[in-house]
Amino acid sequence: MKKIILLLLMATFVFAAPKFLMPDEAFIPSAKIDEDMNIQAKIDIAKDIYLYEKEIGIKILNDNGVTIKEIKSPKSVLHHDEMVFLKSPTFEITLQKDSSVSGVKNVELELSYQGCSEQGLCYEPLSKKFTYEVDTSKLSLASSKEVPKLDIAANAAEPSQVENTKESTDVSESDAIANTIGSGNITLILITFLGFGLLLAMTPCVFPMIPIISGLIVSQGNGITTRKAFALSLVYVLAMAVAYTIAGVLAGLFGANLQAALQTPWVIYSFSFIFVALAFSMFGFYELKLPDALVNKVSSSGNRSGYVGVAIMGFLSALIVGPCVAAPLAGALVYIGQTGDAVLGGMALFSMSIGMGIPLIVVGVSAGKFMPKPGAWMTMVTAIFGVMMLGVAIWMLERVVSYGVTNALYAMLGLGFAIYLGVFEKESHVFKKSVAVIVFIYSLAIFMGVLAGSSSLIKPLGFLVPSTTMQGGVVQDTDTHKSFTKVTSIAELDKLLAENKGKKVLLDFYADWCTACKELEHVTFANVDVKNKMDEFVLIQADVTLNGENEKALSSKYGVFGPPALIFFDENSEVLSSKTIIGFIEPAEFLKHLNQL
Amino acid sequence: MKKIVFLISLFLSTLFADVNWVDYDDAIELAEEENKIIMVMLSREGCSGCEYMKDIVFENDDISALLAKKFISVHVDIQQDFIPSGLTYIGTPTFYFLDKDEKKLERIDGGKNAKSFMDLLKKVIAKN
Repeated sequence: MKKIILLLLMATFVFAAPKFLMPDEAFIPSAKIDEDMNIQAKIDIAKDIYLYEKEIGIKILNDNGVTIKEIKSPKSVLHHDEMVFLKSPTFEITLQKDSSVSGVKNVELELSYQGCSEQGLCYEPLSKKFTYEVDTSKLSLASSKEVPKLDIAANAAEPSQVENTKESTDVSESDAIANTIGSGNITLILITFLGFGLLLAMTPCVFPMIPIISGLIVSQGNGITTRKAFALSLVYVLAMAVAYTIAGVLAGLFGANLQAALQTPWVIYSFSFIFVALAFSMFGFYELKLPDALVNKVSSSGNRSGYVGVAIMGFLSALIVGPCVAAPLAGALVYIGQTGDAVLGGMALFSMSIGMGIPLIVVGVSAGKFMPKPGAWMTMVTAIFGVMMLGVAIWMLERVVSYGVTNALYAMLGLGFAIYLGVFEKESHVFKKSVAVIVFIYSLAIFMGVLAGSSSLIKPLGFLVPSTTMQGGVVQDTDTHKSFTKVTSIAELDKLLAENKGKKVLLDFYADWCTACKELEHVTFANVDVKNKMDEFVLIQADVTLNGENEKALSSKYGVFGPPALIFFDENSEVLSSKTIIGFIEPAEFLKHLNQL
Repeated sequence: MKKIVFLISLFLSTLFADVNWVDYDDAIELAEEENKIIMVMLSREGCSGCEYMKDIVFENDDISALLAKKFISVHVDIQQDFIPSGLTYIGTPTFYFLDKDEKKLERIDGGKNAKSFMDLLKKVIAKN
């Protein structure tokens, strides 16, 4: 990373020997005091000169009861890996006095700074002193005897605002992506995000959409042409992209937790219900279509009604991918949030959603193309999609109800499906029956798991196995490792951080309804090498499952748009914002990341 | 002894094509013996131009090879090290090229990219 940034510097180093300004030409400091005894300190910098934010110091040299109350500094920008001022900065300094002070006092102010020329020369740290006659009657009283923090660097390090966590010399992946949008050209951005979308399509978040789109195509009935299947899939994906973009832009603009917006319980219940309704229509209980009157208005042939339904489903499906927070999405949201440039950010999001949708179009078209000839098979295929859709409905409920409930529902669904397949029928086909029996037994196992309090769908009967033998030879391994301490509010976290001062801390934002979080837990955190390395850290898990006021405050304090997100703290409990990981990460890559810390 | 260590490290450094930095006092002695030009780099901590020179330009194999062949390289941290008299600067990095009698041959202010730094080294060699 550092190398790349340094290489970029090369572009600014000119071939001809540059003529450098002398320090007193490059930087012209000035400071004046107004009638209200506020000081405005300005450093005029010449062309192509920049100042390091962390090297700027403002302090009062003489000790006669007048101190600095507050310094307001302009926003710095990231430049060659450092926070700098590219334009002449002005600092507004407010003074205060001790209660014993009165009358006119002599105040000596020192302004120190250091900067470089873009042509590759760094100047020495410089400072200038200013002396003022300060009328202390105009100053406010210092609230405590404590000396306030004088230099800006220290103020900026206070983790009081989300913004500050971004003021670091390095940038995290999502910030880097946000910067990409800020600097690159539009075509490049759109292509990059299309690529991100394609990558996102490989993650589990898009899987639930596969049965939906195929189901929609198949339910269009007999003899659907490839062309129509394509058109329908395209409409579905476009609608999804539009919805996703709108949600993303709003979330970015209002700085809301995207998850929070997309997982209010009543919203989830209603969408879950929509999927149930859709599934039942697949079973042939009724036909889902718009009222005839409306259909006639839209199109005389009635042929178009399919598109409207598909578009609505696509729009709703954005809800499903909502919880998939990955670096590119967060990057786009950070960009929109920071610049308020909803147009470019929105375009990036739209491009990403299209990328995410391309595999779905492929699925939709093939569903249309390889649809079996009408007949008994046809009913079976629609029924399978119906079951999948019910599965999606239950999966959505996972975000708001407990595992016991959803697993019981899954079990019920599986049992019902097995019965439908003819598990109890004598004359059913051998193959069909054996599948049915497997589904039946598995679903039964899930149900037994529910009764035994197991939450796993993969190993529902895990409770039968004594825990000591579960991991075979590496039993002791599991016992000796640290586990996460759960927190749900800023206060709890701060307390833990204070207790663990001097240690490195890993904070994991987690929620029960977050698929990628579970993947992270079961794949990455379960890796033995990763576990060993993670023992070097104090492990804290921010559980944002409930997403109430406390959880939202916690997320927004660390600029988390939604779980999973891994935040690292150094020994001084400072956030290492450049090390933040958003979304799922593979064990090998994660290990490499941990080793860098 | 000092010289043997230096020669070994010089040998190793050419193998790995890294710039071999020596003390200023040693440099004068070595320049005399090996008839080379002294290059003094004045730098300081946290200076982007200095980091660029160290991480990119001096990592360039052609440059480090030429420096090893024709120059004795001295690195001076202006905050920590003793600054040889007469070597003034307005900022960092600043490069001085000196002959064995500490006579100034050339002074360069600021960083350069690999190509122009290479040209510069050749120019210094050609002039002397």
